[in-house]
Amino acid sequence: MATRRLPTYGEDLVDEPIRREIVVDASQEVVWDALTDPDQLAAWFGAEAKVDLRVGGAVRFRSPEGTERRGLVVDVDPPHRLAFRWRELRFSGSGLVVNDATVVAFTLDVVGERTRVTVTESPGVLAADPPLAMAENA
Amino acid sequence: MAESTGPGAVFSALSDPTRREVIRRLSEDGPTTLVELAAELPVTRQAVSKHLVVLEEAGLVQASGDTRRRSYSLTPRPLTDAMDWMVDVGAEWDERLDALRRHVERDR
Repeated sequence: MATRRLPTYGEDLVDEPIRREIVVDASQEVVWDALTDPDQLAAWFGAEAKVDLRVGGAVRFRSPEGTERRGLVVDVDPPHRLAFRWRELRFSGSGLVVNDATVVAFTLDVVGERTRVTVTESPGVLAADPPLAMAENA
Repeated sequence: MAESTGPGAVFSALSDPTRREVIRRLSEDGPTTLVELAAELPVTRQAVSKHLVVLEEAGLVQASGDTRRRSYSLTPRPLTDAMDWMVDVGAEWDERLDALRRHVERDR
């Protein structure tokens, strides 16, 4: 078998495998409302969304194609930070497919009159998560 | 019955530096025994053995041969899948953040 050289996996890649950053021409409050108001989420996220803005509050995104993501708020600090664990549920031929839970975190930083939006998504802890399981049955 | 899919097990397995080093060695050296691995790493053989169990459970490593001379080799598929996940989910966020920008800048 030929030897395969794999990329180096550093701490950052493992802890925060997905990290995106943009600076938008809008105030921190405007961006915060866009992230948390169901009507605005429907407009840009493209899903029927509900975010209960407190730690442990339920998060739900239902896309028009029928996939659904559900989870719980794990960190909220208006208008600076919102993080939740979610997982995707969808029906396939063999039944319900539940993806591994991941943690999504939004951080909003003021940059003059603009706002830097940082989003990370990383796989969550694998151990059983009773509160999340309860949220999925809600 | 719900089935679980996703890259969580792989990233969890890779969250430890010694396990990443084991992956690196196996990718460079091909099939390697526990004794050989332990000789190259600054941890005990017992520790390497435990790490190999975690890597095996995540599907990253496969053991072959009898117990006395068991060798471990890399099964790269889960790593490829995890990289694919990063690319796919990253692309989703690129799209969403573009949409967020258009949304919050709509009145400008």
